[in-house]
Amino acid sequence: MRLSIYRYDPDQDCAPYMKDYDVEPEDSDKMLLDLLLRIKSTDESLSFRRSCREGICGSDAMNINGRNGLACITPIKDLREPVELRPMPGFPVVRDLIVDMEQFLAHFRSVRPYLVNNDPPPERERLQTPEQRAALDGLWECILCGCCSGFCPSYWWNPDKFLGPAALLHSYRFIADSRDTTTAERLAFLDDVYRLYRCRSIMNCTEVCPKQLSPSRAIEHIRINVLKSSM
Amino acid sequence: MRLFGGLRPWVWQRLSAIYMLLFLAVFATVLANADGMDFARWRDWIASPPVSIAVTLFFAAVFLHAWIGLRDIVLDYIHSAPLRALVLGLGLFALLAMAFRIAIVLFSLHASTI
Amino acid sequence: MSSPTSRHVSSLNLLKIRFPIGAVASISHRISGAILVLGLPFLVEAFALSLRSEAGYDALLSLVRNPLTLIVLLVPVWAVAQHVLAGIRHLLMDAGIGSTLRDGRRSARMVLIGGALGTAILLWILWP
Repeated sequence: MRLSIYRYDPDQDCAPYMKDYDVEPEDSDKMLLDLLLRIKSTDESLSFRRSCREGICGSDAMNINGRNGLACITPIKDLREPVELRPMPGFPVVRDLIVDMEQFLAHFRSVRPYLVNNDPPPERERLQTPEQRAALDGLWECILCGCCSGFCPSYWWNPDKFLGPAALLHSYRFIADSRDTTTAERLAFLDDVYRLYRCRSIMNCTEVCPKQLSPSRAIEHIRINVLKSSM
Repeated sequence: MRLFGGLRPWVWQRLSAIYMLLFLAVFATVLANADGMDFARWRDWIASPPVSIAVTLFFAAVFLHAWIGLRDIVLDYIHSAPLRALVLGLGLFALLAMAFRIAIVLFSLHASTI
Repeated sequence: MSSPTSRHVSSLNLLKIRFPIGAVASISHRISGAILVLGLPFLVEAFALSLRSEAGYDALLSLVRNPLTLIVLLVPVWAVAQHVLAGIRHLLMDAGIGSTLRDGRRSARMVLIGGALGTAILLWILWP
């Protein structure tokens, strides 16, 4: 099986290049990550991130044949050859398939991705009705792999100012939380031509989310909430 | 003060879009059913107060919608501040000039019918 | 050590992206919108001409009745059809209608086909 992989070592290469690898998958190789590990065993200079190898940690996000995905849950049998692997589009390349996530994570931190409630703490816990809890489904499951933001044209053009689908999904996760008391502040923070309104509802984010979440839907909800809060 | 708004232009973009859609639907229907349209009838029709107001609002919606769209394109693709100012300035000037032109056309229409 | 981003290349190469149908619909919306803005001066002048005098009105009418003009009008007519349909799609999505991935893909396809179809219909109506 042929893979064409983006290689770039800033200490040695003046420009990135594509390198072809031929690798014979064994019966135990089911996912793209298995092939990458096999290649790594013969060419240890190839760099990529991976950890849990089952789609939970979100480390091995990359551009696979033109679409972002996690190598560990991308079945080999579905891949068209040669399999082109590139680092996530729009992110600065650290080395090979490893990208710099600093800005992406800074946007994540900027939306205060934690529950804020300044009411006096109750005796035991802050209760939610089953409906209130259900409102968070499809939001809390995000693993911050970056597939969505790395596939969003609006994020490519303004990665420093537009928060991107991942951070906005997390923001909405706390806007939608009945226990959070800072919804107004969160919405006021987002009412900005860059932070929220660079989104043009392209839906590329939802197309590539490996957890089948819908950041585009979350963003729609945020915009409606900003609208309602202004009226 | 922030130079570009967030929610407000988003709302105006949609309100102007809805108005343009309604206007075009009505306008096209009326035109399609107008047999024997000629210059005099066309002119009188545009000059009638309800149509004049609707047309004025239509062009206002068009220019506003165009401005918001132009602004979005510039914010996405042009990142040098002077170039941004140039394109936005030229765009704004052109849109205002066209709005002025439409205002004069509609005004002279009424001035001559009185 | 310098900041890791400062000396690193960006990985963006638009030619290597497999764009989903929604992205195609979205960029068509933008391109058609830009074409319409560029066409605005012509619309304004045509409107002014139609109201100026009988001769102006007739000149405009004969211009539109010329098949050659219609070929030139093909582009703005497509832009109108495309921009209107894609705009309706976005308005519906804002209202929470058709926001799922499946619906979004389907409506994107409908908008792209509809834009071409709408162009044909509009030209057929305008055809002398």
